[in-house]
Amino acid sequence: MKRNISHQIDWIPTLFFLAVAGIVFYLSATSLTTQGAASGTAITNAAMYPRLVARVLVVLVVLHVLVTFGTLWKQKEATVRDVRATDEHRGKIEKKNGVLATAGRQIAVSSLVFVAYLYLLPLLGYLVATHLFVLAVVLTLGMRDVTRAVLFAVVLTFACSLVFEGVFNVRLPRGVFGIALSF
Amino acid sequence: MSFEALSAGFSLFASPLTIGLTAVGCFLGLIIGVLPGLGPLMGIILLLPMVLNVPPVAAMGMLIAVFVGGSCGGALSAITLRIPGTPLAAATLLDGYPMAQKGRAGDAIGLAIAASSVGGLFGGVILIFGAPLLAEFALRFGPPEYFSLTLLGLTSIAVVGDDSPIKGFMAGCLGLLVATVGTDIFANAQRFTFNNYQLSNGFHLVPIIVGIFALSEVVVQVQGGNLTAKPDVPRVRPSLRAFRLLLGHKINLLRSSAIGTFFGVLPGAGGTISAFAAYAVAKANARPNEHYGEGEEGGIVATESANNSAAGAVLVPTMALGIPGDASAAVLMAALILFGFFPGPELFEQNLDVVGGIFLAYITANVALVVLGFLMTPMLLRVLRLRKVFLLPAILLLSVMGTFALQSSVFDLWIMLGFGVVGYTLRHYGYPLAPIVIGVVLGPICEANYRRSMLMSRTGHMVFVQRELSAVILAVIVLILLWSTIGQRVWNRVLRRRTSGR
Repeated sequence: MKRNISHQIDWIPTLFFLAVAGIVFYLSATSLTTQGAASGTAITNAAMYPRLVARVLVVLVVLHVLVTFGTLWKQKEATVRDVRATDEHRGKIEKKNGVLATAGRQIAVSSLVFVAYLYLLPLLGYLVATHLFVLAVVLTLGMRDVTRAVLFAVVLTFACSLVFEGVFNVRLPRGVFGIALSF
Repeated sequence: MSFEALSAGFSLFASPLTIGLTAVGCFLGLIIGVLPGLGPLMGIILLLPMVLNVPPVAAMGMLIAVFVGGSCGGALSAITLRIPGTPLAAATLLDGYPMAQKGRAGDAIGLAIAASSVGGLFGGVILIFGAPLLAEFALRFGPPEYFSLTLLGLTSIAVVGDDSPIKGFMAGCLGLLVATVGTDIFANAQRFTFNNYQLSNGFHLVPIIVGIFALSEVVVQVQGGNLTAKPDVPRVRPSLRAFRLLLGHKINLLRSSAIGTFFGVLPGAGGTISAFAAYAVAKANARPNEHYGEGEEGGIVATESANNSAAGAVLVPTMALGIPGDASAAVLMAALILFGFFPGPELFEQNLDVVGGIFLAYITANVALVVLGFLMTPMLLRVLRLRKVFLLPAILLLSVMGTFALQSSVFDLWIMLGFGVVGYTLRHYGYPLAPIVIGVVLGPICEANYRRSMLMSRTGHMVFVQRELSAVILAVIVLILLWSTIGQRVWNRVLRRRTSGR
């Protein structure tokens, strides 16, 4: 029997939700109070509704943690039986881990490329930044044929420019070079 | 009111732009539905930023047509590759793939398209006659009723999706809180803006939706691997005799369309549940010579008519009450709001022409589905050969450009990235994403009606219980919660006892 990962305590989302609720309470007590919008009637009290939702969220987080602890406690006995199952599936797990490691690398690099693209887009302009972005992502995701990757980057970049600038009349960033297709 | 709506909407609908965009939307929906992992929701999200500068009825026609086409497109990959293009087609592969293995792929695809179209038209009739009736009933609603309705919408989506309703509610609360960022219209105060003027109007809906769904989906697709693999897709042309075959399943077709409509109207149920429910009923009513699961025509008829009729039915509570039935309906509702039209009885009173135009666009999309589906199947199957290594960067770029096009703002792109990180993280830990979007869409309606209720109430929160309609809605919420927690466990225990008893 496999251990269900969703029944382990998910600290990251739990802390994230608590942080969101904490921000609501903190800003209600500071910024909204300073603006005179944290008390009074339903019209003047801008903090009333967010505080209510934040309280409900905190209660839900506590419930979630309690339910998760309860489920883990019940699964404690099953842990011993799990060991043999893990041994039997070791080959599959190692292969899966290999695939995940590759995917993890691809996601990490693509994410960095994406962040860099957002930063460079207003600086280099759409045409330059997008060509580089698409090419980098395609190569990161495993395309070995560089010529095909370059061709795809060029076609996709110009196709999007045609659609957004030519059809939808959206002014895409020109950047410091001021390069753009004219329609 | 239904015929008034149709005649009022005819002038808005009957323009080359609207009809053209509806047909284009259906075509794009088919393409997006065919590609595994995308689905009609993704199609609507990617196209939403692009249609905001188009006249409202034309834009809604295109988005609804994407919804209709996408609800059918997934059947093609289910039948040919045994991989459903969308969750809606998961039930279709049960008989679609075995039928294709027997050399009848053309019949299977033809039946899927024909049944989808007829089911969709059935859902459309329910939409045209049901939505105005429901909107008229909702005229009796005041702020407490509307507040309770938004809670019902959130509850339905939160408990139906995953095995943990608590996670669904947490996601919904997050969406409600995200919607509070910006200037409070009642007190004229800046809320949670961190002194950033760009947040004065709050977050734009589109970066949130695109970030949460599109970016997180791209990451999940990369995790799935096989990015450079090219699927081996057979060459198939749908057979026109599918219509003749469909006539041999009239009762199944009508019954499944009705089942799909029933589940479609229920907030939170949607096309996938309706498809499986219709399949189960069709199987239970099978004739002795029908063997479901081995390539039976009735299996495809049941699933495809149900999931497409649900597409029309889901728009009934969305347009009449402002309660989206699922995530796709939530995004369609968001689109309506972005155009300045607020779903609910007021929409039917003040903008009946827009309502009628949308009805006509929906019907046209289902007619276009048959024509385009039959003509374009060979091309759609070729699209299936597109490798993810090319598809995923295209989705990323469309997401970026679509979001940028809203306000020509790079800040929106950073918001999109932030919500993408949040969306992927929550998804990784098993949290449903649809409640977040529904929370964001319903948030302003929920808050406004809550505060108005508090203002008019002399008994505080008891006002929600003292008003009969609101109390009934709250009772329904309690029943849903009880069923999703205690009721389902008891039912599963009964089923297990029956199975082990045999």
